[in-house]
Amino acid sequence: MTRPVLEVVDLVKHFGAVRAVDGVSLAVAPGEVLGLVGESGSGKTTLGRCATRLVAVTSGHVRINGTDIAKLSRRQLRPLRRHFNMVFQDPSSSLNPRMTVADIVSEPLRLHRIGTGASRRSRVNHLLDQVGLPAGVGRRYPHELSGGQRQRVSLARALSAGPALLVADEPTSALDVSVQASVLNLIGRLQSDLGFACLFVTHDLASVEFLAQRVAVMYLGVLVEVAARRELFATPRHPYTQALLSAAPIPDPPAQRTRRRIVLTGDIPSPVDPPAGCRFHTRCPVAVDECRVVVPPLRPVGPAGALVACHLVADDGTGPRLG
Amino acid sequence: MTLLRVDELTVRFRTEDGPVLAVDAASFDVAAEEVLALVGESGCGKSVTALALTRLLPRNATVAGTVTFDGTTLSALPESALREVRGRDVAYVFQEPMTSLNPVLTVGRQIGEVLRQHQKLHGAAARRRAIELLDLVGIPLPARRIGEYPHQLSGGMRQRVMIAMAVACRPRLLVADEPTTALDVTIQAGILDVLRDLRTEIGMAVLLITHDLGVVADIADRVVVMYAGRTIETAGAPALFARPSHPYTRGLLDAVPNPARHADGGLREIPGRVPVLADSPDACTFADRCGRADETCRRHRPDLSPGPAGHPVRCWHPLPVPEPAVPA
Repeated sequence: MTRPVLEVVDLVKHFGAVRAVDGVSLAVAPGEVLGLVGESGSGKTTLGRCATRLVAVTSGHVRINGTDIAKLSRRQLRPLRRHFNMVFQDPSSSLNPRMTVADIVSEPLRLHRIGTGASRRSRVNHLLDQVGLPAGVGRRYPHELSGGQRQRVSLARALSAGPALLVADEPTSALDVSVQASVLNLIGRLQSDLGFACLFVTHDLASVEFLAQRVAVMYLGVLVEVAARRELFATPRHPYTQALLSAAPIPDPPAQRTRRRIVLTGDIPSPVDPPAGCRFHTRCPVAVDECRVVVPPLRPVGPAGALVACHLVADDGTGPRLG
Repeated sequence: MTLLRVDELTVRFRTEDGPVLAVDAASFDVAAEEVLALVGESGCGKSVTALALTRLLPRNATVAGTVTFDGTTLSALPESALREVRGRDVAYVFQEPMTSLNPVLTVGRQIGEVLRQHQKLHGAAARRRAIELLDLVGIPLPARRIGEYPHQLSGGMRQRVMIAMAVACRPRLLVADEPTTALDVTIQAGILDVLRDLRTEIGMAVLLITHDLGVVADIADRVVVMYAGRTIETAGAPALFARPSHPYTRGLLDAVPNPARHADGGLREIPGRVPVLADSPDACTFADRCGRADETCRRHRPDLSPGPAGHPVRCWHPLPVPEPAVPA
């Protein structure tokens, strides 16, 4: 197997008493889009921020192209930052309002001392073209652009130094559906043209199904299931994954109104004091005594190598079907 | 039976950048006990329309057109009479429950306030009714919850409290503006179930304002699509999804990732952006973004009239009805 671009091992991130990420391991292969899905409080955004070291890591490893960045200082990280970058949900708060678009996009090139003034200018024009913005936009300021255009600028900046890894945190969640479509198409096209690996963090299952090759599902700081996209959407195995997929309404009235639905009771528990055993047991309709006591390990099940953390799923991948 | 009729509703705002036409002669009606979804993207005028029904708009707004509720012309009522209608007959639920709840009052006090105001219920009777209401919206241990403050509740529970307050007086119409947009999908499913149950239990209609076509597919009986302040298509939910007539409606449906529709192709994009208008142009407002537009579309305003699929559409060149799929 080729070396993963991103390899996270036993990652833990606590904010004081809040156990935001509590022992997560995953890898993203070169050229792969891994969708990381979960609801509020699942820790998916924190995991993305740990992977790019925007926050310090409590324990565990974050390897990018084999180099462990988990414990590096700011100074040690700086030269490595050209290899990974991030785009965020709200482009209006992540772009400097006092810089022109051209300056924003070329900033990573200047910081990493890539190229000359002239070569940077031509690189910026090329990048703006790649993200579908007219060259004249380079002289504009972020407030002169629409939300969709600003997100294109964020992408151009994130990709300007040619990173091996892009972490995209809810990049389309603040956008209207028609604009969302164009940004999702763009990320898909850029990813297949440029071949970077992508950790795509979102709560939106439909965009993951559109963009990702593999999907990881997080619940309350831990992974509950990781599988190839088709397999995950066709045969979700963890009870939480099943509930999550069944709760997301599909835009097709006859199908939506006749499908089986699993309605979970209760709320996601506090990450300050997560439940013992399986963290999902307080809301799981099929939980047994073992689930309340023993932590289920994330282990391979079934013929296609899906990973599931559930006591009730057998090694051959069979298990409870809810609904 | 028609419960609410909106006829040529027009809302203009005076702003520092000049006048803005937010709602442009919008017309639709809501039947008793019906869930009508008002759908569109940011800036289409759907929320302003909802607020304009009972004149809940800031001072820089001017409203024209008529709103009739159960035979009463709301647009002609004085503010004092309208205040009686709000809360009692027409109730509202908004996207963010935390900003609509008072953080220093218990849930019970806040529901009690509504009961005192509109139903003259006090003391133990109000408390009993508040517990009933929390139970009605599916809040576990309601007798304990009424003593809690909003910050002690999760987002989903807060939204249930807002719905409980809204339906306290058994309104005939609940206006719900993006009620589940701030919530996770597993929580959203529960809230949509509550709305569905309340509709039959109380016998109220729901005007649901949303941008989420999945939510529409889940709960709406009928749909009104808005674009640039105009109502551009209205149909039963299944018909709208299966046989959209307006190119914009079709564009919205194709823009949503849906494996059944796209297989492995890309998502369809709608080029351009929504115009911000100062005045109502004598043209189709979607013409500049539409592949089917011609000179007629740029020079003449289309009316909302029956289209090829049998439901009203505001378009000079509506889409043909798709051939029924031949089973393979």
